[in-house]
Amino acid sequence: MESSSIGSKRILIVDDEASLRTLVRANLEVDGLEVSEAVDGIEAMRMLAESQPDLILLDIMMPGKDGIEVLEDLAADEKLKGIPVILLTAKGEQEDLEKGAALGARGHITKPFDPEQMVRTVKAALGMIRR
Amino acid sequence: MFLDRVIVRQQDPRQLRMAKSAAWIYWLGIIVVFTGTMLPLASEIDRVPVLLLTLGGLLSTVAIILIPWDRFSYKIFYALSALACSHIATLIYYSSGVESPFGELYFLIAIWAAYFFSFRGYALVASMAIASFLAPYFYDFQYDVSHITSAILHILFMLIAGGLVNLLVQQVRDRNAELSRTTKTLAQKVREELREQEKTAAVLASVADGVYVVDTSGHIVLWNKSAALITGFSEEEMIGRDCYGASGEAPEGGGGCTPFCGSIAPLDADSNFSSTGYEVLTCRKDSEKIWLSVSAAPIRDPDGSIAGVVHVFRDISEYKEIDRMKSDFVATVSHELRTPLTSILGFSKTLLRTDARFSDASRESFLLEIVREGERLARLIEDVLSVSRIEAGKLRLDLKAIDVGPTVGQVVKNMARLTSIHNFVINVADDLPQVSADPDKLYQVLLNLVVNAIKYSPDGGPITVTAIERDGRMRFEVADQGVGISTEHLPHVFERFYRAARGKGGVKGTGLGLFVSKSLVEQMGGTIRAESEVGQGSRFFFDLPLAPAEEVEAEDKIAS
Repeated sequence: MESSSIGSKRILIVDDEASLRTLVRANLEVDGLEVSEAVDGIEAMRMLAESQPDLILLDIMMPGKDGIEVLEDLAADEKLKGIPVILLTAKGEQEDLEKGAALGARGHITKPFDPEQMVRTVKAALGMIRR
Repeated sequence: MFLDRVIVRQQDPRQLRMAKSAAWIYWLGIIVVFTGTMLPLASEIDRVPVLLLTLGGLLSTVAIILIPWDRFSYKIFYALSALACSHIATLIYYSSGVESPFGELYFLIAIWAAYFFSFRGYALVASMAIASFLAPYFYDFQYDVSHITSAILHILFMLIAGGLVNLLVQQVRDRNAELSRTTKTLAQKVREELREQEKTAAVLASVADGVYVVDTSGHIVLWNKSAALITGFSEEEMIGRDCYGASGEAPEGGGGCTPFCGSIAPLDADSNFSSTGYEVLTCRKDSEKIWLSVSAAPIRDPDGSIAGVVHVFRDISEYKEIDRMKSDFVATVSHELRTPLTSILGFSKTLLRTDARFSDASRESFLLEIVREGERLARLIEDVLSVSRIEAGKLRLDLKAIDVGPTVGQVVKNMARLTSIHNFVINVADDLPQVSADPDKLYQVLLNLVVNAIKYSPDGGPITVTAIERDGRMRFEVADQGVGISTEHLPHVFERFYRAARGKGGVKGTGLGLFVSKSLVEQMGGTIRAESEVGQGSRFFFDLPLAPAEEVEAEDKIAS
């Protein structure tokens, strides 16, 4: 399963919940992915300006700058435009999901999620495995 | 009773005056008669009864004039009138009947009776006259036959003329009576109508709902007191205003919100519109936005066409606000429930992953996360349950004498696990007296305050928990050096569902913690307050009564 031979892929997880970041990090790291964390949209944009990850896991409902606003910023930035984004949503946020899809999000993971499933979705988005 | 039917009732003051004036004429006649009887006459007259009768007539006439008839029964007047008539008749009888020089006097009486009496009354007076004129003939008087015939004809003409006058007067009187009846009915109807209008006006003025009426041309024709109170626009401002006019002659609301009148749908006079209800966001005169619940119904003319529309509205801004807060609350609670659940399920499933192996240290940290998030879930559920218990008035307390130190210590110990960037300062002396409180509820209150302190100081910093004895009570204090609460929000922080910063951009929370804390503290006999300065941090403090002394002693004995 671990196929990254050209250095590991980097994932940025943006979520205001510390335990959720820890959860995502633990599951992705055990599969050999490199994970960095941002607590909200503002910190995420700051980190993205410095270095670009291979994929962003983005929570929609966040204080400060929410997921949709981050997506808008990404779409407007030439350098960041191409980074695939997977949204982390809760059930019943259909409207946000549609907005996100329109702004170019690659997919979404609905909370509560199965970690194994989450890892597969991320890997598929990175082209490491077939869906 | 007989007189009732004989004599027409005289109830009009004007007619009463006329009756009195007739009595004056009669009196003058009496004086003439009296003087006449004293003069030497062609025929022999018994002067004594004439004199007595004249005096009697005089007295009855004075009575007719002086008695205030409007205060007594008219029957007395009728009786006196009849007495006067019979008196004249007797006078004529004694002064030799047909030949009496007072025959002409009776003509006056006859006309008078014709005017004021009913036909039967007049007939009575006339018969009395005929009897008094003719009676002497059957006794000793000697008459010249041709003279008698002419006298009788004279009397008959006189009486027939009186009868005609009587008939005429009766007719006019009937007409008048009918007229006055009609007038009275009309006046009664007008009075009832006015009363009805006053009643309607009073009802309209006192209903709490705003009521206004728009005519078919769109002009306001009625605007009640409550309407003025709710919208701030007075009756003077609104009456005559064109509500639907394209000219936009709506009252000046300003502030960029739709002025009141313009936001209500215009009326299509031809439509089959029966009645309708809707809610509308509009403006007060002071530009403040208000939600109105409006129901409109057509006012129809008797022919069925619409004459206007009556609108009844009430201010539902408060309900709208509660509604908004409730749906906000449902959204946040479901979010707040889902977040720890996601972590608990996520970490559990992570531990169960078959395709990956985690170190023992990692596994332990996952378990810790599960415990932490589980506790968070329990706390949230406890708050939600407390709210429903508080609202239902079913909150039960188990008051005990408890030591403050261990409770505070436990709260801080549990909360310290949640954060790595805050340091806790516990400010509790060892020799503090016990407080009277429900241990679980006190724990819940302190926990809520500490959780808030953590949440609202995202950059870390010290969180101080203090308990000191002051004025015979125990004062607890939780202080942070976080973002603080603005003066705008501070008075509302203890309100249910209230959250200083809502939705995105704010700290997550249900808006229940402080409401529950306040209710719990108050149930335990204390008060809770907050002080804060933006950027400097917040201080929440509450006090609770100390435990009664004997309980403390009792426990001391057990301890020793």
